[in-house]
Amino acid sequence: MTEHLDMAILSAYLDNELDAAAQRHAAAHLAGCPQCRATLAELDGLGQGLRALACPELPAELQARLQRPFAPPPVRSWWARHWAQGIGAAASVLLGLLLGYALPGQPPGSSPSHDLLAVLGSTPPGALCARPEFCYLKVNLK
Amino acid sequence: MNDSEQDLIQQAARGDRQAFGTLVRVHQARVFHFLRRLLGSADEAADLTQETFIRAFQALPRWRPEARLQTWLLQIARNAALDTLRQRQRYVDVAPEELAEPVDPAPSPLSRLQAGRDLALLERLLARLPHEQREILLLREVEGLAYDELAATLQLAAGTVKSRLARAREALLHGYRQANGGTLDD
Repeated sequence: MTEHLDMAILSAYLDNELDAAAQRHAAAHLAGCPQCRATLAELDGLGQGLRALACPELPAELQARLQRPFAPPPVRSWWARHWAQGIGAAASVLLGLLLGYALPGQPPGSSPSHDLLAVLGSTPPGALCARPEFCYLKVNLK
Repeated sequence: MNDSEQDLIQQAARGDRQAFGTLVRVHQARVFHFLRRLLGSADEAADLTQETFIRAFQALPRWRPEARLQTWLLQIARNAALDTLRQRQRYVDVAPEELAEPVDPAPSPLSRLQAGRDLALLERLLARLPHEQREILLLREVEGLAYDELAATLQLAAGTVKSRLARAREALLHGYRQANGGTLDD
C-alpha cells in the first residue's frame, strides 16, 4: 500500500467530517498503514495540545475596564439631580431684580402738549380733516 | 447555551447593561485570549476585547439565537482584529523555513515539564503561522467551533474550511517536527 492518505483526508477524518464512503476508505487504509496512523496520532496530539492551551482569568484591572461600559448609572441624590435647576432659577430672579432696579422711573406727569393733542382725536368732532381722502395718501394695496 | 444565559441575553437585548455585564464576565477570558493569540499583543487584545463587547451590546437586538453567543462574539472579535490588522498593515507571514529554532530533542523524563514545554512551544508555533492558518486553528481547536460555524465565522465555503484547516495542521505539524527533531512526542 504505497498511496498514503493526504493531509486533507487525515484532517477531515480526525474531525469526522468525511462522507460515509470516504470515512470507510480512510479507516481501511489506516488499519493497514502504520505511517498514516502515526501522522494521524500526531495531528490528534497537536489538537489536544491546542485545546490544553491556557485561558487564564484576566487581571482584575482589565476585568474592571471591561465592566465599566456596562456598569449601572450611579444613584444621585435629590440635590445632585436638581442643583443646576435651583441655581438657574435663583440667577433668573436675581437678574430680574437687578434689571428692574436699573430701569429709569416713570415721568412725573403728562406734558400740556400731550393734553392738547388728545383733543384732536382721529374721529369727528375732534378731527380736523373733514375730507379724509384729501388728507391721507391713498395707497393701492394689492 | 443554558437558560440563564438565554435570559441574560434577552434582558441585555432590552437594554439591561448589568445583564450584559454578567455575560461579559462569562466570555471575556475566551475573547481576550483568542484576540491575544490572533494579534500577538496583549495590549491590542485588551482594546479589541472591550470594543468587541461594546459592538456586541449595540448589535444584540439583531442577534439570532440559532448562533451560539460565544461563536457570535468570536466573529465580532475576529472582524475587529481584521480591521486592526488592515489598518496597521501588520500581516507578517513567516515562511515555513523560518519556524521555531530546534529545541533539545532529547525526551524529558518529567512528563509534566514536557507537557508544559510542549504547550509553550505550541504557543510559539501558533504565533508564527500565517494569519489565516492561525485563526482557523484557534477557532477549531481552541474554541471548538464546528465546520459550519467556521464557515459562517470566516465567511468561507465548506470545502475551503476543510482545505485551509488541513494546510494549517500540516504547517503546525511541520513546525513541531522541526522543533522536536523528528516526530511528535506523545
